[in-house]
Amino acid sequence: MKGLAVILFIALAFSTIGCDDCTDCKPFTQEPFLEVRFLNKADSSKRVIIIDSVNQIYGKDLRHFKDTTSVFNFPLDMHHDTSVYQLVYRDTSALQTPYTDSIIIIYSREILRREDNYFIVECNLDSFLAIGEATLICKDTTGAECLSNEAYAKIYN
Amino acid sequence: MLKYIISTIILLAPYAGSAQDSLPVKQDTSVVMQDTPVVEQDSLVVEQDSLMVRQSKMAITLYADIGKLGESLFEIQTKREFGISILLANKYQFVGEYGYGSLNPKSIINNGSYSSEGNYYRVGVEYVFTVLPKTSLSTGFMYAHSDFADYGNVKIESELWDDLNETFARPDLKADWIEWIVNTESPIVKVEEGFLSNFYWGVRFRLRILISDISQPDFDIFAIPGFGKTFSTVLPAANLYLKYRIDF
Repeated sequence: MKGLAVILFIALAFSTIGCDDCTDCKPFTQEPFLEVRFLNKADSSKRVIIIDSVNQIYGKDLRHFKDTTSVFNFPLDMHHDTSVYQLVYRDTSALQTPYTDSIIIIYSREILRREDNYFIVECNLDSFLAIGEATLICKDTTGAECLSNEAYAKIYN
Repeated sequence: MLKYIISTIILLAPYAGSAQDSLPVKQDTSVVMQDTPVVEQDSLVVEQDSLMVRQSKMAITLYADIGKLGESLFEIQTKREFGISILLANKYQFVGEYGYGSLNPKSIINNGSYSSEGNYYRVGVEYVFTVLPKTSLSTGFMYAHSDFADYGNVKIESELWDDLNETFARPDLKADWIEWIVNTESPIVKVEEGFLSNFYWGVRFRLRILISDISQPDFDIFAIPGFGKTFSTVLPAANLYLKYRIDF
């Protein structure tokens, strides 16, 4: 009985550790998102970013929000055809200077059943607006039509 | 005169036969060995009589699907199915079945739930081949119809927005299908007479072919009571029945 308790404890501990590591957590496989890449304007190299907030939600509370420090997945609103993101972020090389950007993305939604019997919302992007330095890229062709999860936005600053 | 003699012989002939049956005891005892085969002949006659009962020209059978009842007992699914069959001329069997099913297949929606509930009936005709005196094999076709409703829920969580919690309920769904059936039937207890001799068990193999269009604008129909999961329009199945047969 004691042995079983120890095994259960170890299993629980490992599963908790696993969930804290966001490379193992993949919420966006069901949820549509917009990928946003933060780049340096001068040479298009990756910037290391800290997200302070998105739509007034504290960045650190968004557990599944971050893939790396320069690429972020922004979930789309599955109840509406428009998502508006108000971003406040900082570059790790200049932490005292916060940047603000707003991205507006318009799309059409459809609920689909995948082969593994998970239902997903698939979105087709219609238009992209940015207040700031963002550009929508789709399959490396600016402005091309694509599914939301195939598109990504580049933000230069 | 000859006419009267012949008439008299014809009239007396049956009595003469019965008189031979009641031969004097002395003669009987002298042919004891001969009597034994006579008794055996009698018992053969009895068996022939019982064969005649088994192979009656008409029978009514009431039955229940015990496999489905078992599933209900163990709360796997809630299903009930009963039927009646009428055998005519020992060859043609008319079958009617009625059932209820509440299906909750777990694997249909992994991030949600799905259930389907309703009644169904089947009618059909079979041709019966008698394999052994109380064992038969039959094959035929059935038409089936189901009136049912289905309910579903899909949940997709979001950290930034409200979770998507999409539900649907469709109360008036209908489906039709045909079935090719192969049926076996044999007695549970091998007794010739009595209450238990009327109990049979049978296995029915079905090949179900969906003939109605069940496509829906948003969510598909995933399970039909009486038909099963709709991943294919052609679906094999097997049922185990307990039967009570009344011969006429």
